[in-house]
Amino acid sequence: MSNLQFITHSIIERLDIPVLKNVPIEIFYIAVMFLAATIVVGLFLAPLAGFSTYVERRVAGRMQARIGCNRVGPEGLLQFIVDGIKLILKEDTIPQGADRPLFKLAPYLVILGAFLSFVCVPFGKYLVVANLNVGLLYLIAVSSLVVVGILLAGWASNNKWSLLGAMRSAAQIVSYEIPLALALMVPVLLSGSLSLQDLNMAQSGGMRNWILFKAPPAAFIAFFVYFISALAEVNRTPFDLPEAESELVSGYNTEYSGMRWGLFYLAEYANMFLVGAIATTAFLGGWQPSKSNVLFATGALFFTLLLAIKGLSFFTKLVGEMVRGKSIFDLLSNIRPIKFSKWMFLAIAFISLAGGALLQMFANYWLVTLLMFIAKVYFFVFVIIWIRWTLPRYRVDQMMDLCWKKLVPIGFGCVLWTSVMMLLGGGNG
Amino acid sequence: MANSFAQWFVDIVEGVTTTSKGMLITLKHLFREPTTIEYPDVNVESQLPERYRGILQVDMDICISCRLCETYCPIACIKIEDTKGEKTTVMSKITGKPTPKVKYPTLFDIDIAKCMYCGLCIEPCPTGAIHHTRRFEGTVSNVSELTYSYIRPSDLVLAKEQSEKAKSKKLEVGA
Repeated sequence: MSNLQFITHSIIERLDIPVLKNVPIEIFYIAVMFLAATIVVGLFLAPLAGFSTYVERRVAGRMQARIGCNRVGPEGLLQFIVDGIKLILKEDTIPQGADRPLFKLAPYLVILGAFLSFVCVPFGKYLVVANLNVGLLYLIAVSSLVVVGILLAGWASNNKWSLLGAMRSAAQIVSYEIPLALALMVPVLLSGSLSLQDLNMAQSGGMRNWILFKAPPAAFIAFFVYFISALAEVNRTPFDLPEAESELVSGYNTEYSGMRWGLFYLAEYANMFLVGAIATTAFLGGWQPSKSNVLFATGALFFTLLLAIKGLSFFTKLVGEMVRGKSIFDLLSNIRPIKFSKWMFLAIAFISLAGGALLQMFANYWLVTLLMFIAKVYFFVFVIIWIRWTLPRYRVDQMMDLCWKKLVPIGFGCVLWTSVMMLLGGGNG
Repeated sequence: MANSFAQWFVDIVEGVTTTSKGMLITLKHLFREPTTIEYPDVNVESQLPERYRGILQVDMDICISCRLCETYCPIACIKIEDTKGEKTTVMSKITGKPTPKVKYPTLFDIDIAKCMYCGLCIEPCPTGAIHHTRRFEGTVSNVSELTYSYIRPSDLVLAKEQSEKAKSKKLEVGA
């Protein structure tokens, strides 16, 4: 009996309503499962993905000498919630010639592929939903579900652009799965386990134990091979051929609108987070606390403090104005939180440094491990965004060339080199 | 074969170096000050250049109703009506000398909706009465509101006085 089933049982026994006792208990299990999934997706994953969209827009803005979204909420932080509400309220159109059931099903498959992967991602020392002993294999398998969804979306739309985009996407994802799996073989070889928590454990005790620096230079190169193929897996620039707007309008999601389109969007950003999470876990020590973590902790604290002060000033102003009888909708985009001066930045940085050092003393605490993990993952999210606003899109043949002629041989070489090093070094790499 | 194998390495090295070059450039741009202005929050008008061609303004005190602006306007969005009056002088902003004035405007309308801000009406104006401002916000709920009238009530009074004076003079001369 799982925890969820146990909780359901006890709740129903406590309630003691006679009508409920005639209903088979399995129905309640299912209901509670749905509820739990809704809570996890709604309160945890959607904000994570949503925050990534916010980061993307701000970073893109600054890279193009713009400001980016900063109107809704403190520094525009509530923008993704507003976007979500807008998408839910929009009309959900289905084209006339579309295959209706498949058209409706496709976005769910895509989002399923993205969110199922989160089951075995270790967010912290005890923060993992299911510590599967086939974790990495499961991740690679489940993330392939996205292909099915995208292909369905393209086919069911009855639109040539959608179909072309979907076919490109299928070819791309299936091809890049090979270098991706090969690159992930290196950490698996080095740690001797497919479980993500075991991967973390193998990297405990500081930066020098990170898999990235083992079996030099195989793991280092494998990391880049993984990262590039993962970019292609989640259809991010420079591998966003499936939605190449200059040729295919918007690719497989051309015909989608409203929240169905929003689900594709959400899945893309959830996948981005996932790429960072796997890269962190497999190569960069995951949540493992180490001496160098003062840096990460300081960085994470710095941004947390900045946002906290901004948020606090925003909400005090908001409440103050609301008490005076103004409408919240007028206020949301008109209230400006305080602006930081250089000295305030320095002061906050200093406090964060002290806090980071303090956190180091409690480095085994699960919250700290979570902080480390999130900081590292968001670094990768930033890098993915950074790449998007730097590199132009590949041509189809270039994309295939890079995969089969460059990444696959390099990946094989890395696996081979790691195996040789392990043989020579007595299994330590 | 050996050559193509070498080329394989060259390709990879080139790919890595060019990518890192591009990434460095965008990273530099990330820490640059944004050049955009948060428009409604910031007073943009005061930041505009001196010779910015915004919405037209007419200084009715020194307008001599010569109708040069009306003639020069390529889209004929200026409309002037006037009456003849006694000969007076106004100070020209251009030459700094007194300029004779015999006609007194009773109507001076510019259809800002049609105006294309070419500045051709400003060039021939002998007194510098018509000029650009730095104002650029012309949002109204009805297009007809964009036909700006520059005549003030005092101008009408002056025009009436002057025309009556001129008429009585004419009568005197005629008699």
